[in-house]
Formats: sequence, structure tokens, C-alpha cells
Amino acid sequence: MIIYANELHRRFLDLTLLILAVVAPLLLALILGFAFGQGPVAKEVRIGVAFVQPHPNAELKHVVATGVIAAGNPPSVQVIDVSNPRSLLKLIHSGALLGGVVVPTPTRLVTVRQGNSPNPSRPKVTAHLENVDAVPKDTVATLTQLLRPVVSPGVGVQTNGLNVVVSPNSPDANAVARSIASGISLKIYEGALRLYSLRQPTSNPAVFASRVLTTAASIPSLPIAPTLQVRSIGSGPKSVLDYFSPSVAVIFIFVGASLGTRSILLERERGTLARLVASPISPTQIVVGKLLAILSISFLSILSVWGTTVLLFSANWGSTSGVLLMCIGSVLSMGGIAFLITSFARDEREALAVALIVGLLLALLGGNMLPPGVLPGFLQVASLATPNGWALVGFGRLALEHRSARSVVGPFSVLCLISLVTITIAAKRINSMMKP
Amino acid sequence: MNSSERSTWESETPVLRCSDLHKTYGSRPVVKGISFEIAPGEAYGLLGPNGAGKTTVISIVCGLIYPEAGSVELCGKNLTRRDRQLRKLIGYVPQEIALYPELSARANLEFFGRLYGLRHRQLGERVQEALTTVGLFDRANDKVANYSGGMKRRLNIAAALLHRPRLLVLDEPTVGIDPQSRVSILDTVSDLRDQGTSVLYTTHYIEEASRLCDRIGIVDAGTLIAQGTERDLLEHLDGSRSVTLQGKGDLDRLAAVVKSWPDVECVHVSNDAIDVSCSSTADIVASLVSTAVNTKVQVHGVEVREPNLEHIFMSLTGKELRD
Repeated sequence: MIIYANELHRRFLDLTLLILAVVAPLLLALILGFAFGQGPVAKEVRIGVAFVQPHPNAELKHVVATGVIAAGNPPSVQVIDVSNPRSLLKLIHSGALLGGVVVPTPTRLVTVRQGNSPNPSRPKVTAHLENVDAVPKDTVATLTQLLRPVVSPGVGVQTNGLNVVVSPNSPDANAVARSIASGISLKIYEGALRLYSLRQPTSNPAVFASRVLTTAASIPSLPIAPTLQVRSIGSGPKSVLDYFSPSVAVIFIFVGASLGTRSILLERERGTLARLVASPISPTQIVVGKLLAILSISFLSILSVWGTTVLLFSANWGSTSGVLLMCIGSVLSMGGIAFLITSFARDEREALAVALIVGLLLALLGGNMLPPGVLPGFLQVASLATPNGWALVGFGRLALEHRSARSVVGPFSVLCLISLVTITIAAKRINSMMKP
Repeated sequence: MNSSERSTWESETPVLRCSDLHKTYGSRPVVKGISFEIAPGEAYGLLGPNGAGKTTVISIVCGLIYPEAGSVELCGKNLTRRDRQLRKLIGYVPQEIALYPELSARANLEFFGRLYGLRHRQLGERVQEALTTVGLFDRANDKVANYSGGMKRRLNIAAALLHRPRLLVLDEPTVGIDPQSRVSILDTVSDLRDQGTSVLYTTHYIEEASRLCDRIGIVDAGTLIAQGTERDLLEHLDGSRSVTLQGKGDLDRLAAVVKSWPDVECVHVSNDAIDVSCSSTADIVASLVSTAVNTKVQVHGVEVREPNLEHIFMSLTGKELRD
């Protein structure tokens, strides 16, 4: 504890504690936040959705509602139902809304008929949906007018399409309204694809019509487009921040730990290490005290980056207990590597040079600079040979996949193992380094 | 220290006993069978050229390294790797300024004091005492980085005094400082010795060893080639007294006369001087001058050289340069 307290006291006095644990992480987080984050306060964007049809049926409303969700807008976007397009325009004009989407009215029903076709192998088949009593007509009408672009020849509708209306003063609203319209389209196209798969001609138009209608009827209850469940790196600025905050923090831990462990070599050159060894405290106590101080500062560093990106830029690192676990694992393993490098260096300059090279290699291989997903397969495997790679596996599970703390027990264990091996080897070498 | 005091400490258990120490770095033996003892209140100087093995011996004594053979006893107990408490008997002053420059003198001493188990009020008192001893009390709160070289050296010693060690080990503590600081350090160590602290002092400044140490060991190439009090060592060096007469005239004729005198061992004549080596200079000077006048030699000057530690050192270790 004496060595530990002295190390922290010295770091506090020479400002390295302040720089490594507060100033640098804060700067790092600010740069990341401004580059990829949402800013300190996310601006609220209010978008309206209006139906041309005065009383849209439940299915149409459902399609639109799921389409809005499919747009995947952040919580700062509010979508409001507006009674009709005219009210929507008024609200946008008054500034109450920044934009809106107008959903058109169905114009006519689908008809499926068998007719003459130039290609004998693909007879033209159309269905008289009116003949199928089991399906509510509203449902069919609502859907078919929206499926026009995809459904095969013979199954056609006319529609006015989705209209996006925005205030000219709000480019943000423009993007959001378009994304909502896209979300609705996405939902529609998903249903359309299902109908498209039914294009196989059949000799019995009534059977074909029945299939079309059954499929069409199920479309409003389809789950939200599966693409929303895919969380890939680079899919949006927010996820970039969620990924790169811990990623850069892990590199920073290594830099801080390397600078810290380098001080052992400086102490050897200065002679204070010999004085410590000559005292009643054991070399193990000296090594442990110094290492603990270095790891504590590194831990504070990563906590600073975490706190800053979360509080100021709404970054989401995931489960708190999971993040704490990964922070501890990362600090231990990166500290262990830095300690190992120091133990092999002849002097502090050599230690610094080697640490720079190793740090760069680990960052490149581990995926701190490029997400593992964009690396070739063998490099993705190689990334798991680095503590960085395992750290990012854990942080990725928490931040991008929103998994629980339990999901990072594996990566945490690997990081602990790395630290155990590196610190054991380093401690032995540093024990012998203490001799004059 | 007078002979009665010395006989007192000689009868007690030595504070330090080094027995047949051997240490090798790689294939190069650096300490070859060195043995010596230091009695309570005795100052023992290890004198030797660079690379003689002084620092290695000190490192073994302080438990920084361990010998391949031989043993170190502190107050009758064998110094081992495990017995860390025995190290409280030693105050080690490294050759380097082993201090934290970013800390104040007081903070440095408090830290080193804690290493030796000092706490709270006792720690504060000892820090104050050590700072006063080395004359740095007024600058206690200044950062060490702002100290002069001499002040740092003094503080370096203070850091080894906090726990009141039985044996103070100083490895060339006056390297690179001004004469005033050197005198101050020597006075401090001398006072500590007089208060009963045993001292192991390595240096290659012969006058420091001469002034401070009760006994001196001369080390060269890892071997203790001579040890004893300064007087013992001076007696060991026979024929080193000499008288040089500078003058003009028939110096060869004068030399022929002088060679026949009983105490004269060797006579060397150069252009304008005659150098006479003898076992005693007591009667030689007067006889040489009167004989020179009688032989018509015009005397310009006479220089008498009594043997000293430097002569002993140089004669034992040779004049070739050491790296």
C-alpha cells in the first residue's frame, strides 16, 4: 500500500494522473462524441402522418405504424397522427410539425383474371377477388393499392404513392420524414414480395385468387422488417460511437499503462528502485504496488471515457455490470502487455519505442481501427489472438447486440488469462531487473 | 577514536561481517573472496579504483544481490532473501541521487520512512531530525527538482537515517559536488559515527577515507588487497619516504657520497635534482644539505615526501587507467 500510495501521489503531483485519468479521456470522448455522437442534447423532430382516406381501416394503420418503427429513427423523433393532409400542411406551415408523410387512398380493387398470353408457358392469370367472400374487401383494397410496383402483371393497382412534405427550414425533418416513408415502403415491399412468390400460374383462377388473398390478409400482421434486427457497424453514427468509444478507450489504456510501467525503468536508472529493494519491503510488494497504481489510473481513464460519452453524447455501451467487467478485463490485459514490454526493455526509450509498435499492431489486428466485420476472415481470427480483439468482442456484445453481462464472461475470462500470463512473466523479469 | 574505545568495539559482535564473498557477472568474477568486519561505531572505508568491485560488495551487503559464495552477517544474523526485517539495521545511500524529484524533501523522507515502518508522530519527528541533521530543514517543502547537487546529496543521506540504522552504507556519496557540500557530508557522517553508527564508506577520494575511516580496505579487481588502519597501511609501505634536493653543481659526486649513508635505500640523479629514498627522513635532510654545500652544489630547494595513503593506494593498485 505504501508503494501504491506513493505512486499515485507522484502521479498526482506530476499531473500524469490528471492527464491520463481525466484530461486525455475527456478530450478523447469529446472528439468521438462530436464525430459520431448525437450531441449533448438531441433535438426533437416532430413528424406527422396523415391519411388521404378519411377513415382508414385498421390494416392500413397497422402497415403504416409498423413502417414507422421500421424507419428506425432515434427517440428524439416523434411521429404524430394527423386527421387529414390539409391539417398536416397547416401544422407544418405553422411550425408545429417539421414534416409529414401523406398516405394515399386505395383506388381500386385487385382483379385476377385468366386471359390470352403470348407465352403459352406463362398464361396470364388474374383473380376476381370480389368472388372470394371470406376476405374482407377493405383489407384487400388497402393492400393491393400499395403493392402495385412489385406484383406481377395481372395483379395490378393504381395509387397516388406516398408523399413526403417538409418544412423548407428543416433539413433534418426532411431526412426523418423520408426515412419514415421508406420504413412504410419497406413494410409494403415485404408484403409485396410474399405476393410476388405466388406468381406461379394455376389453372384454377379461384385457387390462385384465394392464395393471393390469404397472403395479403396476413401482411398487416407481419413482424417488423428483419433488417431492423441487424446491428452492423457503420449502420449509423450512433452505433459507430457505441463501438469506437470502448475501442479507442482500450488503445488509450495501453498507452497510459505503457507510460506508467516505463516509470519502473526510470526508477531503476534513477536508483530509487535499488533503495526500495534495500528496504524491508519485498520486491513482490514493490511490483504489486506499482502495478496496482498503473492499473488504477488506466481504470480511471476508461471510466472517464465511458462516463463522458454516455453523459454527453448518449453513447450506449450496454449493461453497466457488463461494461465494468469488460473495463476491468481490458485494463488488466492491456496493463499486463505493457508490463511485459517494460520487463524486456533495456531502458525506458526502448520500452516506449516497442510499446508504440506493439500498440499499433495490436490495435490494427484487434480491430480498434477497423471493425472486425470488415477484416478478411483470417484477420478476424487473428484478432482473437490479441487482448484488443477480445475486449472488443465483449464490448460489442454489450453495446451493439445489447446482450447481458453474462455474455461477456467468456471474453472477460480470456482477458484475465492474458493478464495472468503476461503479469506473471513480467513480474519475474522485473524482480530480476531490480538488481543493480 | 582512541585505542581504548576501539578495543571496546572490537570485543563486541561486529555490526557487519562479510565472509569470503564471491560474485560473478556472466563469466567475469567481480568479487573474489572478500572478507571484512565492521565493529559498532566503526567507520570502514572501501577504497579502490573504478570497477574494483566496491559497489558490488555494497550491493551484497545491502541485500540487493546475493553472492554465489560467502555470507553477510548483520549483528550476528545471516542476511537472507527472506529476512526482510534485518534490513532495518542498514541505512543505504546509493551512488545515484535516489530521490523522487517531483516530491518535496519532506514527502520523499516520509515515503522512505514509511518503508521502514515509521508512522504518524514518530515519522514526523524522524523526518524533522533527518532534515536538521543534513541542514535542509528550512527547505523541507521545496521540490527536490529545485535543489542544488549538494543539497540532493545531503537529502540522499537523510533518507537513509530516518530509521536510525546500526550500519550506514554510503556508496561514493560525494561524487560531483562542491567542496562545501563535501565537507558538510563528511562532517555529518563523522558525527553519526561518533554517535555510534557504524559506517561502510566507499570512495575513490583518498583524503575522504583518510579523514573519515577508522580502518580502510583497499580493493582492486575484486580482491581486498590490504586492510587496516591508516597507520597500519603506511607502515606496510616501506621505502616510500624520499627527499629531493634541487640544485646546480656536481650532483653525481653528491649522489656517490649519499649512497653510502645507512638509511638510504636508493639515489636517483636527474639534470638539476637528486632524489633520495630512505627509511627515515629525520637526519637525512640536514646531512644532505650540508654535504651539498661541501661539494659545491648550489642548493635551490629541498622537498621531503612522507608516505601517505595515496602512495599506498597507487603502489598497490598501479598507475594504469581503469575503465
